[in-house]
This record gives sequence, structure tokens and C-alpha cells, in this order.
Amino acid sequence: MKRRPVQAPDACRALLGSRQQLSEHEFARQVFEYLCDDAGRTALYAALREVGGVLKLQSLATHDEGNARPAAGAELDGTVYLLANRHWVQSAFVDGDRFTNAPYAPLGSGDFLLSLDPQRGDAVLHQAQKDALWNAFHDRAMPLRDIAAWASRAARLSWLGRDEFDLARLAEQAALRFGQAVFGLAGSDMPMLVQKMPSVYRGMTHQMFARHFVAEPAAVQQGRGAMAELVTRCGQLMKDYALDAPDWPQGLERLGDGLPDFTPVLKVLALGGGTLHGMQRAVIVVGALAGMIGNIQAGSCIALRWLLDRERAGMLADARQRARSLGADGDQKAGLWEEFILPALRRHPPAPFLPRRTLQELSGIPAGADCILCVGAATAEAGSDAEAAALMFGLEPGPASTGLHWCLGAELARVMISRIVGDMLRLAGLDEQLDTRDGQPLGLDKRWGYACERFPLRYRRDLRVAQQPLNAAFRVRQPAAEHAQQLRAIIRHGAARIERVLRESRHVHFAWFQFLEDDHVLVLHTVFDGDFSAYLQHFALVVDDLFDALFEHLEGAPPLPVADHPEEFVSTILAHHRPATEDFFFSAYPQTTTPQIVRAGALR
Amino acid sequence: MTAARPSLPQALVLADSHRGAVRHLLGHVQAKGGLRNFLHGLRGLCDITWDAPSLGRGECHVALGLTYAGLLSLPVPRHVRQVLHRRAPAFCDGAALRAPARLGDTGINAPRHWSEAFGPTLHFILTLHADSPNDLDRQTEAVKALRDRGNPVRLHELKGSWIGAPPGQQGQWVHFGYRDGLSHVRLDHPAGSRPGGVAAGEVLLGHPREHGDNPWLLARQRSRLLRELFLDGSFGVLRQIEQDTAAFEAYVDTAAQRLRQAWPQAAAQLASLRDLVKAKLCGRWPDGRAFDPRAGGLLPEGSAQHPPEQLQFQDDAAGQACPFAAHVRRLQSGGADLAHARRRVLVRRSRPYGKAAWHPVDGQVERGLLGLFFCASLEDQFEHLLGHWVDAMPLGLPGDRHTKDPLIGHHDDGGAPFEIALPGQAPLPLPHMPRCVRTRGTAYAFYPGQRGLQLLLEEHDLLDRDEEEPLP
Repeated sequence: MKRRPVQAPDACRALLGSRQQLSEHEFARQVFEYLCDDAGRTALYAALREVGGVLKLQSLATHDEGNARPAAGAELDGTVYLLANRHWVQSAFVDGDRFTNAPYAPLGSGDFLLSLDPQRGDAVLHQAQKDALWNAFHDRAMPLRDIAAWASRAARLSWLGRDEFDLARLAEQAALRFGQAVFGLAGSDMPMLVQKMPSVYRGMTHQMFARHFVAEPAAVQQGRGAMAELVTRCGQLMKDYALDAPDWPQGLERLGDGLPDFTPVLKVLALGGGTLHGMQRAVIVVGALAGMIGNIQAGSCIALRWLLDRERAGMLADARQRARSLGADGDQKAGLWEEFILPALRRHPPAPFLPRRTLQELSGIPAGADCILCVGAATAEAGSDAEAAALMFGLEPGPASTGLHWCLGAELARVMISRIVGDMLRLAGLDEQLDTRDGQPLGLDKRWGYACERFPLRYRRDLRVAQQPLNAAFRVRQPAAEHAQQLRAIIRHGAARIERVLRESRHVHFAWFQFLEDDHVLVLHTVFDGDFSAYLQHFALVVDDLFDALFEHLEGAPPLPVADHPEEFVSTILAHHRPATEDFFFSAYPQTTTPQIVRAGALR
Repeated sequence: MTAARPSLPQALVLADSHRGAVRHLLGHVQAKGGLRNFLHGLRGLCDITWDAPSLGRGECHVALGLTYAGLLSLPVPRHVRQVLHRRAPAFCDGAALRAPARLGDTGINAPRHWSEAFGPTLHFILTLHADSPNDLDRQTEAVKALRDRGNPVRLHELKGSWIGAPPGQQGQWVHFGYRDGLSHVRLDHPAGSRPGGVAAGEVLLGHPREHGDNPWLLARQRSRLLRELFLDGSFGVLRQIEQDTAAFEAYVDTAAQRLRQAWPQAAAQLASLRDLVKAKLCGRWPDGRAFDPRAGGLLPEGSAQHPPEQLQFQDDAAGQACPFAAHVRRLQSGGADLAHARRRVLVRRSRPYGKAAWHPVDGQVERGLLGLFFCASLEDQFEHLLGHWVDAMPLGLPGDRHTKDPLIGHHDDGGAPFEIALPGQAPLPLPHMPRCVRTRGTAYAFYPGQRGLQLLLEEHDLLDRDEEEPLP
């Protein structure tokens, strides 16, 4: 079982007090474990607040990674400062004379939005990038709610095929589709996004935080490589958009039905984009996309984890009630964000750490020191959720921002996270999957406190789609030709009875047999309502003799007669069931059961 | 190989105690080998009741269930565990692991919110019935004294009792204001029930079920332990359900008001729209009488003194009188409406807890139901009923699949509104139900027969040596 750090503040105080007994690297490693765990991080911040909120740690990183050799005077075994209070975090956001964004630089070219220092020499370029993105999003009333609904629906279709699912994957898929649509990538770009974005996000989070504690030298390089391919692709798309304006570019696959008409960001940038050249425009798109997708995925998982926590049963009930009353068409952000999502993100921000470097000596922190801004420590000290939101997302997004910092993706993330959370809360029977060893929730697994790798949940799939398919494939006994002939005869002679039994069962929509592989395999296909085991057991009891006859000619038969061993019959059929590929199953009437259809037909 | 020796089921599985007060002692044994010592200590002090007719006499009746953790602590050999894993996976998993997926216990009802009494170290459930709480107090003190004599066991007590009837009514009623004890499962078993009843194998292990199969027929096994351990045993479920009577009665008020608005002529015809709403939710009138289909289901049929044990719905095929979604109609096993051939028989031995309060209700007191249920298959019977007939509409019944049981379903995460048919009008959807019940805990236990318990407690050698591989 995965080891989790002790989460009590007392244990954190003990760790801080035992520093002298540990090597600097061991001390940093143990602090890192706390930082990576949501509850551990909260406890550590509480302990750090009592000692001023600043902690110097041994770092595995150097300032000059990415260069062939360290610059003269660079520390090979460096230090990093955790800034875990509101004062320092706020100061680092706004004070360009004392802090620089330089630690972002290894992620990409000097044009990368995050690495620019607006208060210093990069002000012109930084402002141009902000203006370009602001225009792309906000001058054109982009229907973000509708796009979010479309993206979430597409992800649910792919990831809710079974009772058990991984919200981390579902939310990532929804975020990717949202980003794909908003920015204007083609339908055919999805495989590339799926492949490259995790590398980009891993590289980003390694550079922003984890490089001080883990040795993963390839992370940033691979992230940069993936980012470069995405930049190239975005550049091509902008050319296409520019050449074929105002029409949709030739050969560009549209994203699919149900997506509203709007002008995507890449097209706006292709036709406008101010003073920026093509590469600069492409870079800001990829940078924004990468951060946004990671934050949406993490924000959705964190919010649901928070609501499903045992301490918040009442709040979960209220949130479900709100989500139901909103319905799928309601404004999820207006209904859910402030009351049910923001409090969770305030305690566990999706981007829990941001990097900065000091430009001058500050209360014992030397000039040129790498710092980690502990966003969650600052938001915990905020007087209200609104103040915390300002710390996380900026006070007034827009080109004339007067906030602490300007978060491009904030509005996009708010809309998409709210949509995912709302859609999940409306699922019947939503809950966490439990660890079969101890009955405890499997929980949310994060990498380095950022990226959500796994969040196993479950729901009642049968209440979303009443029907499900069964495809039980059995190998025909040898000699196959002879046994297949016998099987055909049994099915032919039993057809009338089979039909009567199926009709009387009132929970089977369709059923048929099929020979495959030149009569070497017989498949029983059915589409039925409800629970697998109960469905199979029913037929073990009512047409046991038919199955006895069929199994005489099939390999892998259960103990016979079937009527004496219904449980074994069920487990045998289940063992031979071939699930639908990727669990994809379409139903034109997902909520309708056989009796309802039969009754409607009779009324007509 | 010798045949299995005769055994007896625990009396409480065959029939309900005539004593109104119940005490469930949930024991968490804290020392290795402690369970066997503790159970030995019970002998002569708190003997299990084996003779079903004696449930009508005697001062105190006793039943004993062992959880899977309890069986492991005795211990039982590997081949017994193999058989249990194959034939009773739910018992081995335990209720806490199964409840979110199989019982509809999510959100505030999820196992992480259950009472500590149902925690993972629960080893046994000792159930005592007596006439008065004082008798049970004495008996409980004697059991506790046993604990204090060198048997480290943590005991949690759950206390229940019949609560009588509202003014002017007869019999025993439950919170929410319905008459209780109307339906009985009579087993076809020589030890105390009647021929022509339900096949014993639906509740007792080692007997044929209704369709003739017998999954616990272990007579051919080489291992004597396997042949005898399970015979006449049963699987039991202890489920504590908290009932918010104030919320339920307030909901009935709201629903009656909705009914009055939708159908004003009814207000003049019917003495109590509240009773009608309650009747529609339950599937029979609060005093236990059935609907009279000739009166459009608006009046009761028969007498309150002799309500029917089983309700019949043949004359109400369209659900005009008794809604399909009503508690009794959806849960009456073997109803002709249902899709599956298999009945889901469940023996019920339940008592309310908390002080009775009929309408209007003092909302401050915790009250609810201590449900004790017996069946031969937790998966096919108890879990199917809760997961598929309570948390959703049973297959085969018309209506929205999202309509949950109005009396014991969890309405926290929505569901479709409950509808009632009105003469000459479209069905009336009642308002969404609030949360009226909450699961406080559930435990699965094995209630061994007389021979099985004897083997577990006395035949150490057999438990240690009998290591035959089980036959498939």
C-alpha cells in the first residue's frame, strides 16, 4: 500500500524540530512527502506558520539546468526556499523589483508567457501577449458554457461505460476536448494532444517545483520537445485559418455534432494577434493550453474529493441537490462554483506551487535564490474565499488587470471545472471506490502535489443506460462441423420456445446466436435490462434444459445440469463474455426498459 | 465418509421472538483466540435458542452471528475459507465494502459515516430478545461481566423495542406510522415451520431452494467440516436505519397538500388525505389493510383487525390502486409483476429504536429501525433487494427506473418523483422526497446451525487438521 505521510501538525512540528538529527537531503525528502500529499501539506503549512512561514531546504536543482555546463559560481548543490505565508506569496506576485519569473525559462524559448517579467524589461512583449489572448477570448463572446457541456458529454461517453471509472482520466479527456475546441485544433489532433500534453504538464510541474526534490532530468527536455511539436502544429493551423478565412480551413476535421458556432482562439490570433509574430502567438496558445488542461483536471478532482470527504456529507447532499436543480442545461458555474468548488480549491489549489527567484536579499533570503510560492498556505490565511480566489486567479482578469497576478485560464477553468463537477454530482450512486484490503476509499493520487494520476469513483451505470450487451463466446467442441450442425438444430428447434421465454422475461430487448471462425466459435448476443447476474440466473432457471443441450457441444461448459448449478452457470457465462470495445454502447433510448417499450407499442 | 449429522437452525431464523425488546451486542474481540474463549463463557449464561416453539415462552431468546473476521479469528481452515469465498463472496467482503455499490449506501449513508459499532473489527453479533429492557440489562451485564473476566472484548449495544400503536390503533407499529409484523416467511422445514411454505434453502444452507438447486449441498465433500459446518446455518444482516420521522411527516403534509390542489373533490370525500398519501407510499393503509381496487384504491379493504399477510395485486394490474413504486408492491417477493423468475426471499426480525412519536413529531429524538434479516444468499437476496428493488425500480415494473423506494430508499442523490394514479386524471407526481432515512451501519454475519457451532467451538482438532481440498 502506498505510504502516506503522517498528517497531524504535531508530526510536522516534530519533523521541523528534528532537522538537526537528519541530513539536509533526508530532511528535504521528508518535507517533500508532506508537500505532495493534500492533507500533509495542510498540516505542514500550519506548522510552518508558527515559525514564520519560510523554510530553507536543500535542493537537487541548479539554476542553470539546460545549459551544457554550469555558469561560473552556480551552486551545484543548491538551496530552495519555501515561502509559506500570505505576505511572501502576495509580494512575489506583484513585486517585480524583488522577484523574477526566470525559473520558468527552461520550459521554452524566452518568449514563453510565464517566464516574462512584466515589471522589468519584458513589459512590452508580456502586454502584447495578454492583449492578444484577451481579445481572442473576451471580445467575441465565446460560448464557453456550451463548449464545456459538449466537452464533458464527449468525455462521459468514453469513460462512463462501466460502474467503475477514473475521474482523473475523464476530467483530463474533458479538459483536452474543451481546450481543443476553444483554441480551434482539429478533430484529428486529439491523439497528439493526448500523447503530448501529459509530457508538457510533467515538464512544467517538474520545472516549477519537483526538480528541487526528485531527479528526473528528462522531464523538462521531453516537455520542451512535446511543446515544440504542439507549437509547430498550432503555427500550421494559424496559417490554415489565415489562408481560408472566413471559411473553415480545407481538410481540417471539425470536432463534431453539438458544438456551437464560434471563432476559436487560433483563428482570432491568425487574423489578428497584434504585434506578435507567428511563433510568439503559437507559444502562448500552447503554454495556456497546457496549464489550463492540468488545472481543470486537478480542480475537478480536488473539488469532488473534497465533497466526498467523510466530514462533508451534508455539503455533498446540498451540492447534489443543487446540481440536480440546475440540470444539465443550467449555468453550472453560477450554481456551484462559489459555494461548493471554490472552498475546496482554496484549501488545495490546483497549482499548489509556483516558482520565483529573488533579485535582492530579502530578510535572510539571498539574492538569486530559488523560491517556491506555497499558494495553499497563502489562501489558507486569506480572510474569505473571495480573497483566496484573488490569490489563485487574480483580482481582475483583463488587459488592465490590477490584481495580484493575471491568470489567463481562470475563467475557462471555472466554467469547465464547474461543468465536470456538476455532471458528476448528477450521476446516481456516485461515490469513491474502496480499497478491498481495508475498505477505505482508494482516494486521489497526485504526482508531486499537482497532476491527478488516479481518482477511482463509481456510480450506477444501469441508471444512466438501462440496457447492456452480453456477448458470450464459446469454442465449439471438436469435430466442430459435427457439433455446429447439432447446435444449429438445437437453436432451430428451440426457436419458438426461446422466443416465448425471452418475451415473457420482460427484460430482454434483443437476442441472437452467431457462428464465427468457420463454425468454431458460437456467440450468444443479447441486449438486456439491469443486472448481469440476475439476468443470467433467470435463464438458468427457466431454460436450463436448452442450455444443457447447447453446452453438450461447447467447450468450457459449467457443471451440468444448469438448473442444479445456477451460480456456476452465471460465472461461466461471465468468464466467456467479450465486452464491447472501449465499453462503447449506443442506445437511442437509454432510460427505457423493455416493459416500457412493449407497453408503448401495445398502446399504439 | 459419513453423512452429515442432524442439526438445527437457530430458532430466530425460523420464527420471530414473541418478546418485544431487543438488544444487539456487537463484539470486537481484541485478543487472539479471544472469540472462542468468550463464546465458551457464554454457555450456561446466555445459551442460544434452538427450539423455535420456545420463542413463544421463556424469558430471553438468544441468537449468535459470526462475521467473516470472527470466523477467521477462531480460526477456520483454508478450505472452509475457499468455499466461503466461492459461494458467499459478500459475506467475506463484509457489508462495508459492498454497501456503496450493492446497497445504495452512498453520500451520508456510506460506510465511512457508519457507527463505530459496525467497524472492520466486528467479530460477532449477539442478539437478545426479552419482554423488557430491564431483563435485557441484566442479561447484558452478565455478558459484560464475562468480558471483564479476562476476555478483552469491546461491546457496542444497540437497543430496540416495540413501540406500540398510535391512539385508537392496534398491534405493533413502526416509526413513520405503519402497522408492523404483517408479513411472515414460513419456511418448509421440519424444525418448526409448515409444509407448503417457502423452500427452506431460500434461508437455510444445505437445503434445496425453490427451483430445486442446492448450492450448499456439501454432502459429497471429503471434509467432515465442510459437510457439517454450514448445514442449517443462515446468513444474517444487521442494518441500523435512522428514520427522520419529522421530515417524513412533513413530507406527507406537503404531498397531501399537493393532492388536495390537484384533486379538490377528494378533500371532500376522504377523511384523511394524509392517510391516503401514506397508503400510496407504502402500498397498504397505515393500519395494514389492503387497497380496495373497486374503490379506485381510495378506500381500504377488509378489517384493520385482520389485515392480509400477503397483498395480492391481480385485480390492480395497472397500478391504479397500489402504485408500482410503493414499498410493499416493489418488495413483495414473487410478485407477478417482476421480471426475474427467482424470488428474493428475506426473513425479517426487526424492532424499532427510539421513543415513539406519532404525528406531530418531536424532531429532536433519534429513532429508527434495527433490521435483522436472514437469507441463504446475501448477493441474490438481500443485496438484490436493496440495490435493485429499493435503490431503483425493480425490473419488469413499469415506471421510471429512477424511482426509489419511498420508505427505505435513500433520496439524497435524487431519483424520479413518486407518482400516484387519480381517477380520470393523469398520474400526479408528488414532490421529491427529502432525506428521511439514513444508514447508520450494516453487518453481514453467519448464523451457524447447532452442529456447525458445536464444530467451531469444540472440535479444535477438526479445525486444525481438516485440510482437505474442497471439491468444486
